[in-house]
Amino acid sequence: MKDITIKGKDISKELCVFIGCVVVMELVNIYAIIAYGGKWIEVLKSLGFVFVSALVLYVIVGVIRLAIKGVSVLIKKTIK
Amino acid sequence: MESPLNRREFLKMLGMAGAGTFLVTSPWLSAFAQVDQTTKEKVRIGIIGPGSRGRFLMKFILKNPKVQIAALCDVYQPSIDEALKMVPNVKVYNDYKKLLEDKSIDAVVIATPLDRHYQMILDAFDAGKDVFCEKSICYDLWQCHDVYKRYKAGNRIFFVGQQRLFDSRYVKAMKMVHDGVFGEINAIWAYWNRNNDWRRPCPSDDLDELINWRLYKEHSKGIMTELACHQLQVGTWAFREIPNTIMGHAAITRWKDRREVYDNLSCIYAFDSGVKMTYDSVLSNKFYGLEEKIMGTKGTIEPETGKFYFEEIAPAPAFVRLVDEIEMKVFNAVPFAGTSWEPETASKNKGEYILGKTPKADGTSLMLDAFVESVITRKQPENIVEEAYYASALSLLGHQAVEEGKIITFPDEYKIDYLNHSAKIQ
Repeated sequence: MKDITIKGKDISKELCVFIGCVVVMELVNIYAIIAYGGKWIEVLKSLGFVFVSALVLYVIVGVIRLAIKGVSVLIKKTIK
Repeated sequence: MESPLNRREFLKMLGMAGAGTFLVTSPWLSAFAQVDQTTKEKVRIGIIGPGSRGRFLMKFILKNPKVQIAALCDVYQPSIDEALKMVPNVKVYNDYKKLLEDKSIDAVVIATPLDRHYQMILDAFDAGKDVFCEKSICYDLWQCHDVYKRYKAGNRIFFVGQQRLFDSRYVKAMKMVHDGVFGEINAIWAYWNRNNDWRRPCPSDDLDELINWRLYKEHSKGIMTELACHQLQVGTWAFREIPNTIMGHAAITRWKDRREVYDNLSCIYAFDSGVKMTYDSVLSNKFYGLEEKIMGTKGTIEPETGKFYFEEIAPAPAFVRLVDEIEMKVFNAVPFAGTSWEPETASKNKGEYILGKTPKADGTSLMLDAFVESVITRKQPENIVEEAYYASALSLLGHQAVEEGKIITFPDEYKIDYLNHSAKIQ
């Protein structure tokens, strides 16, 4: 079995992707507050919902990234 | 079994440092004003009627170090035997008048069948005893009135077993009601539903009327005097008014045994302003249990469940509403024309707790403690008897309304000086 090495830069990259997801969901939260006339305190009070949906987004983005990686590996193999 | 709530815990549960805030809506709480100064006192109590309810009261009385149960009286030996297990070696009487002759007894607790209350209360007053009598006060309205007049003319301490007056949920609920938290109260819906025959086990048929006295007209008015009495008192406490018009209907629909009292009853109590208190009770379905739903323009409070609900609740966070809307658009079935009306089914508002949790005690232990304090301090708390008088009066008038099939107006001759009523006849 091949050893898998997780490098520090891989972890930083994933952390950045996750933080990006959190930022996106917080922007969605802000949009919802404006669209539904919510209170601005919900920017903080809804952090729980934002965090959970950021996790979901991260998983979806992860699946897409894996799919893209898989397709590009296949194309490289085909070209060779 | 519930543990008694002492005064300190009671006040803490109500969330306050002193009783002052609640004295306006519940002035009888003043009974505890000197509770810390009476620790060395002892009251000797006689129990007249240590049946199931009497022994229930004894459980709390025994936990009060300021009380000694000195005597028991009952005509039914098994009740005496059971009570003696709780208080061995006390004096036993079969005739309550002999108990009343005992000068060492300061006060009596009367927990006998309803039809016996009147004479026992008057005899106890005459014997110089303070009285705690189970509700309703008496079997007939004229008897209740007579007892009230005798109480007012004398100097005895007199309590009636309306324990919701000392139930922390109810005390806090009424303060919220009277502070206008729920807006204008326009309706109260009280009910007490059970699914059983209300019979106690009976060793032989000839004892049925003695043990199951609640089911026989000679001894009780049934649902109205045994159950409704409590809840009608809650209604007048909330409204701070006595209703003047009473109507109702009742029948025996489920338990067609030897009973003479109704098992299916509805009454309406209408106040002069038009607001109403309705009372229902069936002994054939227990799904809804019991409750007093006090309904105001801004919210509803249900003291029995211990919760309140506002009509308008804060919307869900905007983020959640957005997710809900997206979910509906994505997952909803094929759109259709839609309805031109929507049924106004019950609100799904989960409400909030009156006290943050449901207390285990129902006010009985505190009420008995208050009685003992009053006997010691010789101070009758305000309005306790008046609340009980009108609870009894309204339950008896409700019974009269269902018996006669007529709309009854509260008789002037039985009005006393309390709330919106004035005594017409002194």
